Amino acid sequence: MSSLDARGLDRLRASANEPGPGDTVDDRFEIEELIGEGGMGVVWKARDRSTSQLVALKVLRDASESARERFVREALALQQLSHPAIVRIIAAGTRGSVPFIAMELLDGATLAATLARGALPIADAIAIVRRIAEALVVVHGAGLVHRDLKPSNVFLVKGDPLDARLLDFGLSRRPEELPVTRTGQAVGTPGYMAPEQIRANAPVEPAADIFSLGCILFECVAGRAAFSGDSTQAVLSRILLEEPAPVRDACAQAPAALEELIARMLHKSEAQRPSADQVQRDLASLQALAGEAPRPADALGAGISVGSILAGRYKVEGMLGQGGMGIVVVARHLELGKRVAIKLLRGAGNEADETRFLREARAASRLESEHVARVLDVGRLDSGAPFMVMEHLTGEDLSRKLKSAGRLGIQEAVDLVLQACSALEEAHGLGIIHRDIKPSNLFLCTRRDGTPTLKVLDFGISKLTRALEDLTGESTSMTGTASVMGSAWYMSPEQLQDTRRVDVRTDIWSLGVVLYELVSGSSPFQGDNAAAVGARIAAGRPRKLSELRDDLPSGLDNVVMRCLEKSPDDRFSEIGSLSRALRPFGSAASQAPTVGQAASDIKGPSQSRTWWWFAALVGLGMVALVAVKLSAGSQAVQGAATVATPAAASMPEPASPEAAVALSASAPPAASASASVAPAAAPTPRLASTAKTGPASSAAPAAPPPKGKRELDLQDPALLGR
Amino acid sequence: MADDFVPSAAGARFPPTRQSAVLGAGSEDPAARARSMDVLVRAYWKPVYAHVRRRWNRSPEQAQDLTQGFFARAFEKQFFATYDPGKALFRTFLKTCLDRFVMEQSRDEHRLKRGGSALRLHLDFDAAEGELQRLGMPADTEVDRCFDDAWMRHLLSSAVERLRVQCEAKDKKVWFDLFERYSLDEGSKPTYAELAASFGISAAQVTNHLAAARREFRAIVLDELRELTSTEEEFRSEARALLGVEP
Repeated sequence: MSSLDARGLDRLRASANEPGPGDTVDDRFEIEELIGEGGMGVVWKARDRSTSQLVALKVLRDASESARERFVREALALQQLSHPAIVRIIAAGTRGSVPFIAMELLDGATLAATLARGALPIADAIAIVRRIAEALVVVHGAGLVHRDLKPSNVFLVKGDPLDARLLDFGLSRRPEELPVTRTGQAVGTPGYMAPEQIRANAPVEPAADIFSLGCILFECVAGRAAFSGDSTQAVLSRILLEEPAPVRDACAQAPAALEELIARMLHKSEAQRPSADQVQRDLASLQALAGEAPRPADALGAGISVGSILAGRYKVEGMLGQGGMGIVVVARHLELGKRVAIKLLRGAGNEADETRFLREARAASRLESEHVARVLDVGRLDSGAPFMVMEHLTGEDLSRKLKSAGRLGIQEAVDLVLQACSALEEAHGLGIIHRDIKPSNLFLCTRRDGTPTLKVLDFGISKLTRALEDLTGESTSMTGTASVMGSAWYMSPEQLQDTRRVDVRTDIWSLGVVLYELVSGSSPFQGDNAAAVGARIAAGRPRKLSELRDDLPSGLDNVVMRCLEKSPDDRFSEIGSLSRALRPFGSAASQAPTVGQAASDIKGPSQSRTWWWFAALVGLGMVALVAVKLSAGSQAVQGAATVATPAAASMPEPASPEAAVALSASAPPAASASASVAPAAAPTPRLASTAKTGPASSAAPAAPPPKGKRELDLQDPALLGR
Repeated sequence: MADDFVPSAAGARFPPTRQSAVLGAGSEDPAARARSMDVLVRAYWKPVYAHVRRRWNRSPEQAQDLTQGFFARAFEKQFFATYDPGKALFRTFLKTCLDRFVMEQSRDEHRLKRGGSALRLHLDFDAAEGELQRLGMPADTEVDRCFDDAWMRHLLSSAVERLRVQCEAKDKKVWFDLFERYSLDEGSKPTYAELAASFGISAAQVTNHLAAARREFRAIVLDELRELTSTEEEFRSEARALLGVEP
C-alpha cells in the first residue's frame, strides 16, 4: 500500500464508514440489499425501525467536495418540497463523514426505461408530463430550479403514467446562487439542457426546466429525442441553433394544441416559454378534451382523490393548479352537472392557514362583480379542512398573455385594467384590500358572446381594513409583521415596509405597475433579485412610458406615474378616481356609464337577470314592496334597500338603457354586499362614486353622499389641491 | 508498517494487549512502563518525525536525532506519566511536550549528541522520510496540522495492515482484496458491479464481503484507539476524529 495522501485518507475514512448489508444507519435504517448504484452514490433497500416500512437509503460514495455539496443540496431541496409527484424524503443525515438520504421506496421503472421500448400513447405522455409540471410548480414556487430534468429522473410507480415522480434534486439550486460546478461551466444533461444552460453565462431560471420538460414531452410522444446527434457537441449545437422536427411527423395523431405547446416549451428564448403552471393547465385542457381522467386516484393531496365526493355534491375530476397554501381541483356538481373549481388547503393546514383560507372565502364570497372569480360555496372535508367552490374559468392569465404578446395595445391594456378596477372598487367598498395584484392574478376569459372579460383571482392574502375589523371584531393581522406577502415586483413601498399598513392605495400602486408592464412590456422596477427590485421600488424612479412607447397618448403617462408615487398620499385616493382618469384612454366600450359597473356588468349572466327582474318590478311600481320583503328577511338587506329605494323611487321608468343600468348596477349588488358585512354601514364607495361621477349619475338621481365616501374624499389630492 | 519499527535488541516486542498504554506510562511497574513506551513509540514516532521536519523545518538528520532524543527523554524522565486526561487529549499533550523539547534543544544545539542517550530506538527513518517526500511540502496553512495528519495516516495505515493479516488468518483474503480495491486504490472508485465482474462473484457477495471487511477494519481502528487513550471520553473523541463516528 502506498502512503496515504490527504485524498487517500479521505477516501479510506469515507469507505470505512460506508454502510452495507447488516449495518444500521442512524440507529434507524437497517440495510437489507443493494438496489442500485452509480459513480456518486449507492441506493440500498433498508427497513425503517421506527415504522417497519422499507425505504430507499441513498448513500454518498464519492468523497469529493462537489459530490458532497450536490448530495447535501438534494437533501435540502427535498426537505423543503412536498408534493405527490416529488419523491418524498424521510430523513437525512451523516454516518460519520458519509451523508445519507432516506426516501420513500418506489416500485416501478424510470421513464427512461419505459421510453426504451418506444413512444408512449399520447394520453400517457400528457399525464406524465402534466404531473411533472405540477411538481415543478412547487419546485419553482420554492425558488428552486431542478436543472436536470430528463427521463431517467422521472419514475413511474408501478409503471403507471398517472403516478410519475420527480427524482434527483442534486443539481437543483436557486437562480441567484452560483452553480454547483464552477461558474461558466454548463450543468445538466446534454440532450435536455436549455440553450441558456448550455451558454452558462447567466443564472438558470425556471424556464430551463420547462425546456427540459418540453424535450421529455417530445420524446414521449415521438419516441425519439427532440435533439440528437453523433456527439455531445452536435446535440448542444442543435439545441442552440435548430428547431426540433414537428412532433406530428413522428406521431400524426398528436393534437395541434400539443404540438403548439411543445413548440412553446422548446422556444429558444426563455421568456417565451410557458410557466410550469401554464403547462399543466394546457395539458389538463388537452386531457379534458380527450375526456380522460386527468389524475391518479390517490395523489391529489389534501386528503382527496379523483372521484371523491366533496360535501355530498361535488365529484372531483382532477387538479387545476396550486398555490402557496392550497391546491385547486376541478369538480362537477352532481345535480347540476356544472363544472366548478374547488380550492383546498394542501396537506394538513394549521389553524392559522384555515383561518386565512376561510377569511379568503368569506371575503371573496361578498364580491359580486363580473370581474371577480365568483365564490359559490364553502365547506369542510371530513377531515375538517376547509374548501371553497369557485366558478370554473377557462382562458389565460395576463402574465402568460404578456409573455406571448410582449406588450399589449394601449386601449386593450387600459380596458383590462379598467375591468380590474371594477372588481377592486367593489372589494374596496367592502373593506377588502387585495394586496397581491399582479398579472398572474388577472385572468382573461371569454364571455358567451365572445367578448373578453377579466377576472381578478386570489384574494388569498386580502386584508380586511380596520373599519371592517372594527365592525366584525375579526383579527386582520394574519400575516404577522415578519412576513412580507405579495409579489415583490408589484408591491408598494409601504407594503414592503410593513404589510399591515396597506390600504386601497397599495392596490392602486400594483395596478399602476401592471398597466405599465402591459403597455411597455417591461417592469417599471427592475433588478436581478427581489432585494434589488425592492430597493428600486423604495427609491427608484421608473422610466417614463412615453420613452418606451412612441404611440403613447398624451396624459396616460401621468396617470400611470401617479399610481406609482412613493407616497400613498400622492396617488389616486380611490379606485374610482383612477378609473375616471383612465377611461379616456380605453376603447369606446370602456366609455360606459359607470366605472364599477360599466357595460360589462350588463353582459354578465347573473347581472342581466338581476336587471330584468328589477326593471320589471320598477315598471310595475313595486320597488317599495321589494324593499319591504327584503328587509323582512334581513336587517342587513334592509340597510341596502334604503339606499336603493330613493334612487329607484325617483326613477319613473327605466326608460333608457342608462337608467336601467344605473339601477341594476347599484341597488341589488350593493344591497347584498353590504348586507353581509355591515348592516348599519353607509352605502359602499362604489355606489357613491357611481352616483357622483359616472355618466349614469346624470340619468339617475344622485344618491345621498355616504359617510364612508366623505372620508375617502378628504384624502383625495384633487380636493386638497395637490 | 509492522517492520518499520524494530525494537532495540535488548527488548523483545510486547504482545498486543488492549489496555491503555497512556495509563501504563505512569505505572510503578517498570515492565508496564516499558510496554507502554513500546506502544506509544510505535503509534507516535512517525508523527513526531513529521512534525519536527515540517513544523520545525529541521533536516532529516536533525529530525532523526530530535525524535530519538524526545522519546529517550520521555522514557528517562517519565514525563508521559504527568499526563492529565482532564486537561487535553494525550495526542495534544504529547505534541506540546515535543514542542517544548525541540525548543530546549534549539537553545543548546550541542547539548544533544548523536548516540548520547542510553536508549536507542530502531526506527525506519528512511521509510518515514520517503513518505514525507511523496506527500510533498504541506501548504503553510497545513503545517500546524502536520502532526495530527501524520498520526491519523500512521494509525489508519497500521489498521489496514492488521486487517490484511487478520483476513489472511481467517482465510478471507477476498475480503481484504475487495477492501483494498474499493477503499485504497488510486483512481475512481469502482462500482460494486465492476468489482463483481472483476472478482467473478455476484454484486450481492461483493456488498456482503465489503461490509464484513469494513466492520473488521472499524473494529481494529477502535481497538488501537483503546490503547492510545486513557478515558472513555478521550476514546470517543478520538474515534470521532478518526472515523467520524460514535464508537
